[in-house]
Amino acid sequence: MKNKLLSLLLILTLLFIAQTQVVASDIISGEYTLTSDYYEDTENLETLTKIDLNFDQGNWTTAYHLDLDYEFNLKSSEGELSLNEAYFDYYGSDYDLRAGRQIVNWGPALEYNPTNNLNPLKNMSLIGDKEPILMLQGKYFIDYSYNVEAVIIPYHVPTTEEIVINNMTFNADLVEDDLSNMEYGLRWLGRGVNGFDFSMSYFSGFEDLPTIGMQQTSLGLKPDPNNVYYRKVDIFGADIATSYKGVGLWGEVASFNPEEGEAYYSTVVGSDYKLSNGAYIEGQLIYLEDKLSNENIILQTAVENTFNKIHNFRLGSVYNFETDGYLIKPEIEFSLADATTLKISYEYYEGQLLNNDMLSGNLSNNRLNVELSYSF
Amino acid sequence: MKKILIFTLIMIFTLGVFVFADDLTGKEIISRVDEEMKVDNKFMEEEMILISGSGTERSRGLNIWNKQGQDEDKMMLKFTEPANIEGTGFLMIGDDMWLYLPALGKVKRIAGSAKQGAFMGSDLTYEDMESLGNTGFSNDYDVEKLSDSEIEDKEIYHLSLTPTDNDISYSKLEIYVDKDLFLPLKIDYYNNDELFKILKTFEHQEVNGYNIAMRMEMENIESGSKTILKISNVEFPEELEDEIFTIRNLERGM
Repeated sequence: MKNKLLSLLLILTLLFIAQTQVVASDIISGEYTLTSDYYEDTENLETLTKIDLNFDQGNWTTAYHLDLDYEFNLKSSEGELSLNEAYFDYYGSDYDLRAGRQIVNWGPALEYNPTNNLNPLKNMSLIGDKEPILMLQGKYFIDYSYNVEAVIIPYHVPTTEEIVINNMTFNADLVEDDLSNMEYGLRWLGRGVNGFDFSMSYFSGFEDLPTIGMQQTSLGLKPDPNNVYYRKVDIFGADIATSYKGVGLWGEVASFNPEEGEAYYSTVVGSDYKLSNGAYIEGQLIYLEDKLSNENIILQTAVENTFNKIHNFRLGSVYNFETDGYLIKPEIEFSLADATTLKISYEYYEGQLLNNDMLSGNLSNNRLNVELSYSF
Repeated sequence: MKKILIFTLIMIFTLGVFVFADDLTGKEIISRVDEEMKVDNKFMEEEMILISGSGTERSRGLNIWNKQGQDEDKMMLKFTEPANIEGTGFLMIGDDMWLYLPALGKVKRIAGSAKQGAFMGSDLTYEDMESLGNTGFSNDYDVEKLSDSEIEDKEIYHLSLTPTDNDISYSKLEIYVDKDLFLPLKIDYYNNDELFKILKTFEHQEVNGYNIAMRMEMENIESGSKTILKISNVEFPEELEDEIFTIRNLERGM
């Protein structure tokens, strides 16, 4: 049903474009991707073909953006059409409004941002894409350096609706679609203030991952499978970024304060530098504490450069001091033509990368990925 | 008799101008070059062609806004082509730099060291761009005038520039300046006294009273790579709004 609706939406959009006789190339852009993943542990090969269609039109007052993805699994011959972002922008004299299905990214750190808690994760993985959700976002520009942002999320969308304990799956009670359960976030930013960027943020809403309640039994406290729910949480965040003697520096911290249970926090400090030969090096130290008090101290590093002028390579690594688990990820990207690239990457895992079963996701299965993409 | 006197005076004056012009010192010539290249506000639409050492070409479309502020220079750059980098933006206000990547949907502050490397993957560095723009050469180099010569039938001043600032990444520059336009026709960049890069400028035009090269080629001798910059449109507006040079504008895809 959902696919039919999206197909209808796609057709209607294309008809609208044809009707208005707008030159399609001016408002349609996108990417065609052929991607193949080989998972070593399961010896499973998956090949997908994806088409990402973006429709954009706007002027200095209004704009709209519609992003549709169609993914087809070449092995199972199954396809899926999904709506990614779809929003409307209004630009006022000193404010911007964005309404619709969207992703809001907060924080200067790379890939993992403790202050970025508005969108749920697409997959159960600490570092990964965010799922767009319905939001109203407003930005008020005090001057060229300072602005405040407010985000309203009418209902809670979790990363997962279930919890797995001892190979048993328990479904969580979703947060009621009620006005009193509306989520919101506020942020105050300064940009280029004496060489510094900074922000302070607050989020009021519900945790992305469910919590299982405990019950008293004759054997002591035991998880109660009938009481799996999302805790209400207040998140206070702050971040700062600057450059000192050519070295980029940033820091980001968030304190998670659930309505019940212990508070926990996460922080990231990082640095980057570009050498005169063009090589770019970056490093981040992440302290991650989750709601179950699992601690992770993670060092993330990467070096990247271009070769033969138009191709790129990157060598990334992640090491967890708490588990001694690590990941090494070499990537190479060939530019085949102006808008065509071939990317080959390999993820090698050793040990447990994350001290958190729920967010470990696929972070243990060695993977070879080959991706061919053409943008238009 | 009177006519002869007037003729003689005109000849003396004309010769005097030539003698005076040829008497320009290296410092004076490079100051004139800096003045010619300096503009308060500029908007350019250009194509950047990257050519690898093996001859493979990649093309980029760019829109660039430049403004010389009271305290600091400002630059906004947006990629218009190809599709996979379209919408990528770069903002520089003095020493502060930010990059906007549409795929990530957020603005990232760039470390100051980014100025050390290539400018947007080209064979030009940020330092090259600055010296060919409002910063000029006078403040960072000592100048020595070498013998005059010709390039493609154009009379030129031949200058040798030695850096006075330790932060300059070249050991020496040799600049060949067009005597009429006071624009560099060719610059040889030396690293440890070895020829490292060559910049050539072509298709000089007067636009709104400013002389400008509509085409530049920078060749890296070491790697064999080359970058061609072709300006398709250039404007010198009296005023460029400060609002152009903001994070708000950087985030907009237009």
